[in-house]
Amino acid sequence: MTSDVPRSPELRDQADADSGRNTFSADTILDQPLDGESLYQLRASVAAHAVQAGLSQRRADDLVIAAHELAANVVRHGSGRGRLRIWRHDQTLHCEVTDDGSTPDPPESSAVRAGDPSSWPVEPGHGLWLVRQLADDLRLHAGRAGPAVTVSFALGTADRVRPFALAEHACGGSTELAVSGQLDHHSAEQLTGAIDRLLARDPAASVVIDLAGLTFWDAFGLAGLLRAQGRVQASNGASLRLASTPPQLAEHLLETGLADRFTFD
Amino acid sequence: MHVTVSSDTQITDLTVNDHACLTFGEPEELFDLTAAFVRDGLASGLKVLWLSDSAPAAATAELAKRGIAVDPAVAAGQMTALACEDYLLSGQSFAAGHAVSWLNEQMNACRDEGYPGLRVAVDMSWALRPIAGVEQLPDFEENLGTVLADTTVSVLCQYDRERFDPVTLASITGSHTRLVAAATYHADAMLRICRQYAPPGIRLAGEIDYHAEEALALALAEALRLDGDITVNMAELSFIDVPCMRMIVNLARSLPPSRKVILRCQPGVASRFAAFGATEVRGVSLVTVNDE
Repeated sequence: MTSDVPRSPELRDQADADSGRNTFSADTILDQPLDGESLYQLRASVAAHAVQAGLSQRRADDLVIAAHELAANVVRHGSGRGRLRIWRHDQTLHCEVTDDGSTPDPPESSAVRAGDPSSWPVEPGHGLWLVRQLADDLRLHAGRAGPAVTVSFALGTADRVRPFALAEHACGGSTELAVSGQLDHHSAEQLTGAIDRLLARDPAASVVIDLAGLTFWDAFGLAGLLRAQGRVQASNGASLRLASTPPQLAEHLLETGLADRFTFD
Repeated sequence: MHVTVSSDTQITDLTVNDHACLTFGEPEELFDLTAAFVRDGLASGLKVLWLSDSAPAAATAELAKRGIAVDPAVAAGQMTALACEDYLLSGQSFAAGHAVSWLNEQMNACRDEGYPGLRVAVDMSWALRPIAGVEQLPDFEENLGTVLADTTVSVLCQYDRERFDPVTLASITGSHTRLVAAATYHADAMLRICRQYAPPGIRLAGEIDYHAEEALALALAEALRLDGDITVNMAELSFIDVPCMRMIVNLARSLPPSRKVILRCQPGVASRFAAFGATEVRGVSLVTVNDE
């Protein structure tokens, strides 16, 4: 949450005019007002533009629900009207939702920070909690007129679509499962399948999931890791550790409150 | 928020010698309601015939997909799927007299075989094609009332309300004892929420967000009052927001351990539920369906 997200073009122009700095190279992709009557159209525009801009269908779906939840927050908990902007900067798509009115704090900000899956359903904050899980980055900040939230989604690179592979080898008294490529719906099932087989063989197995080769994960992938942890926990004497967790994943687990569930090497 | 529940009879309320008129809006609804009609008929030990608009094998496959034990019933002769052309019609022509005598034959055969009664479902979509004698359809519907009087035979005439013109539908419905349709909680260009009868639950199609919360709550509350597992069929739902997901997952949380909630969704919606943590709630099973 510490990375420096470029401001939306409009705000930046303002700031650049003030400071006289050079502008970033950023492309505005979508800029439209929003209210409670236009969420359906908003979702359709976001979906179309996200795919056009190069997000995979799956990540475009994630952006659509993120945009919807942020916009719905403005409509239901904010002033009722706002604006949505999407722009590209480097290899990242940023989507900013601003509230036209002025509410004292960014909506549900405390809930985002405290987002903890073990505590839900705790009203409110579920919308933003989910958005935080789906987006690569989420920032709450003050917009020109009211509170604003920006979510960022990395555009795909060739590396991200490396296929999933699972290698199992004995390592001291433990069994190591080396995971590489993308951890998604299908591969998460392979992973939990492998855990089930291991536990069937040895109910007190000591398992290490090595994530060094992980290039991509989505909500299903994370759910798969949680399921794996659940199966191990339910098996008397068994243990699970995560090794070589990619920094972004570690940070993501921390921010979503899931890190407590795992033991890291 | 506009919430509607149709006042029509439920498919599960039909009794002997009903001559019911079922209207449906899409194939999914037709198959669902027919599956319930067949299921309840078989469960009561009745003989069941379905004259469908699709090939018999495809028709029975649709019923099997909805949890009906079709194969043993077909093998035992208790259930038969037929194509309209070969029985109700004579090839590409329709004669009310011929159709009524065919039905009489079936009723006699059913009695001779020792069944306590007969259920016949007839998909009327053939009448949308250039069939000679189609103008005799209202006569046929009219005569059925007399044919079924004092019998243990019920007939379910199935009309596609999107394709039959309102005038034809209006001229036909009057000769039926009951009108049957899926209970509908919300229907507009964007979203449809209706009861699902086989397997029991609800069906969502289109896109749903908090605007339809009230209709969804009502649909879920009614599903809760049914027995057994609840299917939330979202196979044709392309978007769901967090408040609606929460409502569905909370339904699962409120059920006793003996009952499950089955969420059938497209991969995109399924991954939303997974991100939401639905797979970790006891009693929830998340089934991903691929576009068939």
